[in-house]
Amino acid sequence: MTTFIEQLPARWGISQLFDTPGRINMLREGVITLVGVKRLESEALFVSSEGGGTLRETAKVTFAGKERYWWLARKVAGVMRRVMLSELEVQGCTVDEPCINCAVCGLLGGLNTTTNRALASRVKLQDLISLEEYEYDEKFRIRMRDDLVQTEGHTIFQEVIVPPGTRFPFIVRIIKPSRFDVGAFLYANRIADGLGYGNYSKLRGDTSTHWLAIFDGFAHVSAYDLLTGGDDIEANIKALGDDPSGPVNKANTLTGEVLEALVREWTSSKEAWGGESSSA
Amino acid sequence: MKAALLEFELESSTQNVGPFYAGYEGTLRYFTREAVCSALTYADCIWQDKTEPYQPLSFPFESTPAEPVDVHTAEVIYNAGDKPDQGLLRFGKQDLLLPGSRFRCALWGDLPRLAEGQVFLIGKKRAPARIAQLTIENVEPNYAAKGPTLPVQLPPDAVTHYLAFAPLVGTQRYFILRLPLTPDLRRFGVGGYVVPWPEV
Repeated sequence: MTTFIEQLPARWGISQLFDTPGRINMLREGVITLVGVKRLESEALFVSSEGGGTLRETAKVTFAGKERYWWLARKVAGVMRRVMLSELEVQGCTVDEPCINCAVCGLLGGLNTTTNRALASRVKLQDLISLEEYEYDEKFRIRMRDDLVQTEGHTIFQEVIVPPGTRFPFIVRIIKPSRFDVGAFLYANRIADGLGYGNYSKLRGDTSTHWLAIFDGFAHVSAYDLLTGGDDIEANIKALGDDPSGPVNKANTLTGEVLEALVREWTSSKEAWGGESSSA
Repeated sequence: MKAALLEFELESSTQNVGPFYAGYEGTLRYFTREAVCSALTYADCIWQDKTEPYQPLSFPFESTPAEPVDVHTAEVIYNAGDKPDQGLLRFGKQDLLLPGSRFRCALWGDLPRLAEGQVFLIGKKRAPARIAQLTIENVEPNYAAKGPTLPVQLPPDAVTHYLAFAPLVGTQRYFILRLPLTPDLRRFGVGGYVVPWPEV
């Protein structure tokens, strides 16, 4: 079965994006909405404020009636960009100096301050807000000296972490999508999940993403609705897949086994989405 | 004439950048009428020629700026890139409008499709927002309606036409003001609020 994603244009070149009128209507240019759940597989620390002393605290926000863990979207976007630059073997483009001339800049946007050339990101990420309530649980930690014989000079600090198992609704929209855009995003997301997000991600911040629905259109999926809809968030998203609201081509909605097969294939091999589209 | 009063709630952090100096990027607590109209018509910019002067945007309907109803902000740190000492604007502090913040605005004219629960993207970071409350009414402009008043957005040179106003936001491009309901001020009522509609 060929899905609507496989029938999207193969990819947009940078010049094609700059040939598009700068100001666009998202609904006319096309949008896809991806909805899933990110689940922490290890503890994580998402620091967003300066803090004080030796305490590092995960950000929190009051949303949908509760204090919840708050994971800023840019902490995902940064890891995604690094993964894409590495996996797509892009030359001459870095996070410090986006070239605005490569496939990664074409998708994630950027500003080159030397040429003053800029593209907006076509991937619209939103902050991740936890289903679980925020709990102030201060952990006392010690960083040992390399020389363990020394009894002095160890660093003592405190952290308020997000515990493993915490779930976050993950809603992503891609504007003017191509097959490459969707594939590169799914592929990079899978690798980024393994690398981890947040502070000290070498040791923690690992996640898994369970994609539950992809909509052909701007689905009116709301984090508020998902977070207030009860503990079984996956069932809530599945229910949305049956009857999405908003400008969506409902016949094209991907859920269940078809979606799982597509995600499995596209996150396993770059060739699955990197080639030419049959319809492009 | 059709008019709508809507309240929307942010689902992600965003900004309407105001003060921006010395590594500090502040946010205003109002969204401009251009931000509201662009968001509700699902307009976005893929690229922008920064050397071109600002061109006023026109829409098939009018809007007030969105005023804060229950808005919370937080100061967060940012540190972009691997070499934060290189280039401009790589590290510092930002004020963000927080998820859950609620705003109110009124629209009138050839209204776009609106529904409670509708999601759109707004602000510098194109945060999703959800329409939490919506009233659509047929209204008649008049010079007598009384009640709680929504703010208006005017170009700076139009502000001096008014003998009295309460400034809420001032920038080089626009002012957001609350105007007293004087007998010569055109207005209409929608959803229990009075919307001044100055004839500028």
